[in-house]
This record gives sequence, C-alpha cells and structure tokens, in this order.
Amino acid sequence: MDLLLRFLEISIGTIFINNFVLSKFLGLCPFIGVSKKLDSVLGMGLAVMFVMTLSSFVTFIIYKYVLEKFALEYLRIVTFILVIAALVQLVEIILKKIMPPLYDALGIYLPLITTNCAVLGVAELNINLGYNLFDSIVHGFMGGVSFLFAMFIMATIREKLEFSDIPKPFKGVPIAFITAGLMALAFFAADKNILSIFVQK
Amino acid sequence: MSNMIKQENSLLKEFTKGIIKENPSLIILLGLCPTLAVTTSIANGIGMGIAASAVLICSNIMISLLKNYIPEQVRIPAYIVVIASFVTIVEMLMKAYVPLLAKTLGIFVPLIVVNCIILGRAEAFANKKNVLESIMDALGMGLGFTLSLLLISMIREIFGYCWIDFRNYGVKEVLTLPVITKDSELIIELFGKKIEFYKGIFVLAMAPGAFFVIGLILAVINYFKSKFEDKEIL
Amino acid sequence: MNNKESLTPLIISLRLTIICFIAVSLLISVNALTIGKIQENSKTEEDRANKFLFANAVSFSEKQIFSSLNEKDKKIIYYFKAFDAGKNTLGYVVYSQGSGFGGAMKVGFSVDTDMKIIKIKLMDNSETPGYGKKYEMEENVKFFYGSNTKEKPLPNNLVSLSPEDKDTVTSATISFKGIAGALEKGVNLLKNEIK
Repeated sequence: MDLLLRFLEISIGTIFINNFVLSKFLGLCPFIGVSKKLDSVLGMGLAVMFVMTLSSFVTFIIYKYVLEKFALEYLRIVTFILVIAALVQLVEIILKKIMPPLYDALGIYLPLITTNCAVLGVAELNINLGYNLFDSIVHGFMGGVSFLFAMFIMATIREKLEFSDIPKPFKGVPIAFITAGLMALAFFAADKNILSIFVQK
Repeated sequence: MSNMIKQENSLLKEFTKGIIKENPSLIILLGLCPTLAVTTSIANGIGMGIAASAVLICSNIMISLLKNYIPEQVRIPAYIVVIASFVTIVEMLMKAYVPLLAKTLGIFVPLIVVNCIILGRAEAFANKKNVLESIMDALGMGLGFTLSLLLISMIREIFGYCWIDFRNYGVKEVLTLPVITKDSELIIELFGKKIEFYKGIFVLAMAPGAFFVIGLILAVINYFKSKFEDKEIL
Repeated sequence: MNNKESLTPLIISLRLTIICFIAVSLLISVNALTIGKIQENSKTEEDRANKFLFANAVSFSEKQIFSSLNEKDKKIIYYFKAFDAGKNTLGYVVYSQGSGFGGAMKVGFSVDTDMKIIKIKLMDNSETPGYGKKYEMEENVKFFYGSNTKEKPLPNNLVSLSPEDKDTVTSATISFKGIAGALEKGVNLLKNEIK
C-alpha cells in the first residue's frame, strides 16, 4: 500500500505537475528538433524511456554503493556521464544482435540520447531529491513517460500547424516554442499541493 | 607581414562568428535547456553563461592540445571525461565561492556536461585547429551564449518582476525600477484615486514565459533574416 | 592519419586510462581545496538564519532532532536551542515544512519558552512570484508574530485576521495555510519533545 501510494505520487508528480520538458526544461533539444513527425517521436520517446529507466537504476546503485561509500561524491558527474554513454552503447549493440526490428526503429535515436539532458538530469535529480532505489526507478521510467507524453502532444499539434496560416517569421521553430509555452501554461496551472494527498499522515 | 595580418583577421573571424552569425543558442539552437531554465533572473543568466563559457574555453584548449594524443576511435569518451572534469571543477568552485548562485542553478550546473555546444565545438572545431584558434572560437561562442542568456533573462526579469535581483552575489537588496513599488506594481495617483497601472507579468518569470520569450525572439530574428535575404535578391 | 590507424587496442586503452587518471587526480586536488570552504558555507548559512530568527540569543545549540519523526522527516524538520550569555535556554528556533501551492516549502520560526511565536521566515519554496512568494518579505508575515498565546491563538484561517492582514492573505490562501500548518506542526512537535 505504501509503495503504491509512493508510485502514484511520483508518477502523477513527474508526468503532470513537474513535467520534465514543460516545467523542468529537460530534453528540450529533441523536443523541438524531433517533434515534427509522429513516427520519430514514438521512436525517440521509447528509446529515452528505456535508457532513462536503466540509467537511473545503474547510476543510483553506483552512487549509493561505490561513490558514497568511499567518499568520492565529487566524481559523480564524470561517473554518471560515462555510465550513461556506456549504457547507450551497450543497448545499441544488444538491440542490434537480439532485436533487429526494434533496432531499426530506435537505432538512429540512440546516439542522440547520451547528450540528452533528461537522462543525466534524472540521475542527478534522484540524488538531489534523496530518493531510494524504488523511487529512482519509478522516477526514471515516469520521466521517460512524461517526455514521450509532451513530445506526443507537441507532434500532433505540429502536424496540424503545417497546414495553418501562420505569419511568416513565426513559421517553424518560433511557433513551436509558442505552442510549447501554451502547453506549459496548462501544466503550470496544476496545483502542486495535490501531491500531499498521497503522503501518508 | 601580410601573412600575419591574414592570421589576425582569421582569428578575429573565429571570435566574432559565435556572437551573431553562429550564435549557439539563438541561431543554431543548441543548449536550449539552460537557455530556458535558468534565465529567470539576470544574475542567474550571467552566472550560467560564465560557468558554461569557462568550461568551453578550458575544454577547447585541452582538446586542442591533446588532439594528436587522443586516439581517434575513443575520442568521444575522452572528450566527455575532459569536459566532465572541468564541469566538476566549476561546480565545486561555485559551491565554495558563490553558494547561493550554485543553489539556484541547481542541477543545471552538472548538466553543462551534456550542453551540446561544448561537445559540438570539441568535435567540430577544437580537434582540428590549433590552440589559439580554439581559444578564440571558445571565447566567441561563450560570449554569444552569455549574451543570448542575458537578453532572454533581461526581458523575463524586468517585465516579469519589475526588479533586478543580484542577491545571489551578496547584494543586500533588489534593485527596483524607480517608479515601481516593491510589490512590482506601477501605481499612478489620478484625482486622488490610486490606479494600478501595471503589475508585473509574472507568467514571464515562470516556465511558460520562457517559451513565449524565446519564440518571440526567434520570430524577430527570422523577420530580419528574411528581410536581408530579400535585399540581396533585389 | 596513418599512424592513428596503426594504434593497437592496448595503446588506445592505455592513453584513455592516462587521461582518466589525470582528470581524477585533478579533481581530487580541487576537492581538497574547496571542501572546507563548502562546509563552512553551509554552516554560516544556518547561523545567519538562526541569528535572524532569534536576534537576542547569544549562542545556539547543535542541531537537535525530533525523536518522534521518521528518518526522512528528521532531515527536514529540526530545531536549535537558543541560549543567552549564561547558557540559559531563551527559546527555540524550529525549521518545519508545510505544503504550499508550489509543493513543499521550508518555514523557519522562533518561539520563546512559553511557545509564543517571535519571528517567522519563509525559506526554500517554489511558490508563485507575486502570490505565495510575497510571504518571503517580513512585512507580509508580521501577523504571525506574538501569536500562539491564550489571547492571540495561531492564525490559521481568514476569520482570525484583522482586515488589513486579510487583504494580504486573500490572494494567496493556500500558501498562507501551508505556513500556518508548518507552524502548528513545528510547535506541536516541540511541545512533545521538551515535555
């Protein structure tokens, strides 16, 4: 019961209230760059979700049981980024060998993920927020979901925007940013206090 | 002699290209996350700009020096190690000497590692050119990045809060604009009645405002770009 | 280009290791230089907040924890004893947590030995600027001062406030209730702890 409440708290918190893209500004480059087509959004989003869950698990273990144990916290950034880069490589190789169809779909997005702020961001946030292992994994997964969610909405809107009559200077990226702003406004209106109903008294 | 002038010119060109023509965050659209996330106040914008520029300059120098030593096959991990160490050094120095700023910037200091500008410059420039050119390139790019952060944060802070807040650097009070009260209201007395003339557009200082401001700036840039292109055709 | 092709895996990994080694040793030395300063900073920050909240105290105790809280809350909610020159307890400085519109917020306050509130300060928070954020300024939380006595109970709803204070509170009720909740929680914990 406790775990379920915690799961709900983190999920709703990361997807709707502190959305990674729209309120924490993590992973904006792919959000603007890749969100033109729905297919590529699904590929990118799923790849990010996969890597984020895996990396928040691995980085948490490494931080807790290696870095903190030997008082090497200052090597955090170097370790995290190397772990993420290695993980992305590993996933790429494994996918290529085991699931070629999935690799064909996700492959081109995988190299982009190493430099996606959301992946390193979630690892850092897990430590900053004092999460435990369960929380970190849920946070990583739901962070990926929130990224996919925001990208999905954005892509559907942008596909429609192609056919609308926009002032010329606003065509392309500027109108995408304005749209993102309106979406962020909707997410911003969520009362963050709502999460406190999940915290057991 | 002419060779030296030519070299100086090319150095100057490396420096200036980053400021306007290839401005990393407003023209090439790299490093968007910090551009939007930390520009809630001018102080934060400048702090982020300087931190990222410092990392960019150091890593550009280092990679340019080591370009023959780093094996081609593992260059990306090597660059990442170099960049991440400089980021850690900058983070530790910030925590020690400007603790409030480090606290406000939060995770965006470690996230300088994945700022595409830095890895991009290492890969596209520093590993081919000599040290002097790399320094000029980094200085230009860093300045361009800082200036665009400054532009966005100025719009957001002045119109959003109607004040300029340098408290993170140890300044005691916020600077309020002369006619505006501390609650960021502009109140005009007319025939003995107080009329609220302007109240800060707080949404600009919050997350949605960042998207609106950068969208508008990019639209203005596009407008001028298309105007210049038209002229060339005529 | 040719000699790069001919590097053996051994040399490649050796060079990478050397780069890593140099980076790590650089980090260790910078860390050794800055760690003292960083720890000192967090200490002075705490001192400054304590001094603001309890101006006439001469010294403060070490950080005290509430034994009734769970491990996670112990890190967030804690208190200090405030002493005068003769090491007599003048009162307490408590750091508590409440939930405002923007999520959790840290509230620091000082009480005398009769649990009367002396000063409060809204600390780390993510409230909306112009609304909940205005409680960061001292003049907007003055109505809490001197409360929590028989004559003046802790204000926790709009009815208990004077008309001017009501004007301050109406636009940011959730944040106000969050602060009041944090105060109540802190006072109750403190009462139990020192009984």
